[in-house]
Amino acid sequence: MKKFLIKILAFLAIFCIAVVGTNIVVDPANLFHDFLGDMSQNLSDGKVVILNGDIDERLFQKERIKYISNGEYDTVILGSSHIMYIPWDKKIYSAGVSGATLYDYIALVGILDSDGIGIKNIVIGIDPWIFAEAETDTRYKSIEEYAEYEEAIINGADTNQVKTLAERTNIDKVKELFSPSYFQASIRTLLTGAVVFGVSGDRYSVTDSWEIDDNRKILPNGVRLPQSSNIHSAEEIEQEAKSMIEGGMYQEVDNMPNLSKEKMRLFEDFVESLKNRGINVTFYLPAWHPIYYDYFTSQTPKSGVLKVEEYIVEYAEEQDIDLRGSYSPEISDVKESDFMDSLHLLPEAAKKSYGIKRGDR
Amino acid sequence: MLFNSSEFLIFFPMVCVGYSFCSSIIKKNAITQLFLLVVSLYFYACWNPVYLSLILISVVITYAAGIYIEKYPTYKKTVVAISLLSNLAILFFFKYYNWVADSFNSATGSATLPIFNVMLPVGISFYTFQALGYTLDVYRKRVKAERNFITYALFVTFFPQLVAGPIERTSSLLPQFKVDYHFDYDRVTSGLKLAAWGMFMKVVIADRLALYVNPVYNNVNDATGTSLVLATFFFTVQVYADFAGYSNIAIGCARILGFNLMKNFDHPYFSKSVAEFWRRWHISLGSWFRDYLYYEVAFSKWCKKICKKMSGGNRKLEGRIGSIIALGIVWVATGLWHGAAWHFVIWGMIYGLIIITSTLTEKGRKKVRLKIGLEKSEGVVRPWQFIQMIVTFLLVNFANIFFRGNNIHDIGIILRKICGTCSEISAFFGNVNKDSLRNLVMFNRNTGFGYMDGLVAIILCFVLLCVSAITRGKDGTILITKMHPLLRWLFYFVLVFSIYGLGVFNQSQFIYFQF
Repeated sequence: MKKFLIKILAFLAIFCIAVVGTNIVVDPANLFHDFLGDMSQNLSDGKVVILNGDIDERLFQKERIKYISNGEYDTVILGSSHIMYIPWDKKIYSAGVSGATLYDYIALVGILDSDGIGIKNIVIGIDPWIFAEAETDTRYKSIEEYAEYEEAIINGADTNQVKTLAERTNIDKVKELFSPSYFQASIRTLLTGAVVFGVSGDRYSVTDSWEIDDNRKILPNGVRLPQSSNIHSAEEIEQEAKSMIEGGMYQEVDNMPNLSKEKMRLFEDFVESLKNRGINVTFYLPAWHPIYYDYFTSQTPKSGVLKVEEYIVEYAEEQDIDLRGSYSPEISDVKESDFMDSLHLLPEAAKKSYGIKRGDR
Repeated sequence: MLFNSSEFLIFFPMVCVGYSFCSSIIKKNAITQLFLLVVSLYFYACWNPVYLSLILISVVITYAAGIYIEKYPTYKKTVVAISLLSNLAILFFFKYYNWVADSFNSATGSATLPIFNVMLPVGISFYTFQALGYTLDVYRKRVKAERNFITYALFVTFFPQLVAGPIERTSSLLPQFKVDYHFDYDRVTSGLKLAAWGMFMKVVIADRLALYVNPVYNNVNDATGTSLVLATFFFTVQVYADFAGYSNIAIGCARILGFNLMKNFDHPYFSKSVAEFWRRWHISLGSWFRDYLYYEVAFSKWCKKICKKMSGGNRKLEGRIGSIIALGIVWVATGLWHGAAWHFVIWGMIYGLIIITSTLTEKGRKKVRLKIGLEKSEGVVRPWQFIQMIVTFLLVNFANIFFRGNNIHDIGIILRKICGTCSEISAFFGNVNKDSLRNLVMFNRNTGFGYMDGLVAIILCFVLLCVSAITRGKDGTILITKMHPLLRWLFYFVLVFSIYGLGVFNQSQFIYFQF
């Protein structure tokens, strides 16, 4: 039995060292290396950051928000990549994350709340997929605990849970050391050649240039600058849009016949909770490329995208909430040439569409 | 508690330590048995402590029945009937009543029979059958009734095989509890290897394939025929990896503790006929039905009476009719055993029909094979054996549509869509590109299953096929032992890291838990 125990323990020791070592070194969510904190510090000092690889945008927001001082920004914009390129005013903080879902909005406000940052205005860039019945994007899970925390606040729970949240985060960190899912994420990171946090190398650099060039830049107020190579020609965009329609749309917005009643209720509770705390709420509907919008209008049964807009218009009117923009390029006053790719408006065009107040037209 | 849960990873080593302590320090078999009984009951209670009472009722009834059968032979028929009926009544109520009531209410368009909100107790079909097997064995005087209640209770509730088998025979498992435990290096390491391979089959192969199978089968309206064909093939591999994986973990864990459980799978997908497939698939259930139902029916007086009437005195025909009646009953029962739903009944009937037809036509087919040279005196020629394997595999795939389909309506849609697969594929070849492929097989679309996942799934199916081919007719754990030590250790690390790196750890249940 002694021989057996020695062999088993040796095997387990090697196994644990390999798993823990891989998780610490690769660290796909930057749990064990403060790279994002360091980057956030630079942004907070007014520097522009150039990314040299992919990052977990949710975790970045969590770190960045820690460096925001109370009163530094009076407005926070929530939403997906549809809002993250808009050149906002310096008093506006852009908390956009790619493919944002309703749980992302809630979690991001949860981070602001748990860090004690008071905000006067919140703009919600509403994408249709946030009301999809199926959860197509699970990236919010990086900051899931903040979504749970904020949901507790929405439901009238005690805000002193912040401490429990911090404690839980530390326990989770230890768990992640041995977690198979974290190990799998590490392996995926290694295979895809994304940034390996624990391995030396330039994960980011800083610059003073606020110009669009071929770098992936983040401005101090969270606004992202698109890479010039990602600004496509009209022909490329048309081709991109047609092939996406054929092969399935981003976040499957072409495949959401019904809106989730549960998510609509959660969204309304979330907005109500913000308003009850004296926060001024604004909705923004980012425009879709005309090819997509024509496709949505031709869909039978009625496209979920159009249903979401109808619902938001009605809800905003009912709640007396300022509503900007529209999924319709016509109402948003944008045309094909205003898009940088099939899904995103050029920064200035997005700003223009945000300027369109629905009640004014 | 699931074998693929972190709780089991803590529970099982603790049981091993406790068991070693009881058997080597205390050295009293009764204490060791009591310890195993307590942990087995705890294992079951982790799922639902209330339903522990059901298993205990079954234990008490069958234990008492065994003793009474021996003590009062005159009343043994009554006692065995009481034991069978009370156990089957519990099984019926929890597993079948709602289905019967619902079917009756739907047929009559009324709500005559009430529907109860009861959960199906995990493993009820398994432990009920094992306990009934004991009663029938005592009745038929194949074994002596067990007088020690703890030993008997442990026989029914022994945790490695409690919730999904193998359904053990009294003569094979019960005496093992009375033998003192001694640490045996080879046995323990062989158990560990088997359990690790079982875990690989479950969390890496079965659960990874389920990522595609579940969304396709749960949204048949959106699925394409091609995706349904692929999902059916994946499910055929999944269900094997899932259940054989469970059985391997169960047998491996029991082996570590010093117990030998019966083999439950023997390379079923290499079978050359459906009847052979069922001799190699879920062996413990198949042999249970053979011994306790098929023979009981085929040699029963009422069956013989019917056969005599139908055959008009022809002895040969009489035997055949008896066999057909017994097979029909066994296959409907097999279908029902797997679930209280019409599609399971149809699934069982499909197998019954195939097996009855092949039994009836066997002589004729053999004549044809001999005539055209597909079979010689030494047996069927190799290429034809290969074709037989493929045909059997395809028939199993077809039957699996009825097994996996959520309901009859869905199955209708699946069959209709699968019929249109050829036109889908020819349309695809008219316009080959990444997007049309994605639409065809539904990778990245609605399923959340990407091309890389598809590639991994196909590689895993191939790995399973290779391992099955290598271990055919051999003991895999012995093959590993014979490897060069360096290779062997490399194999262990690759296996464990594959489980960790490729496994799906969302604590999905084993498919056969629902039965």
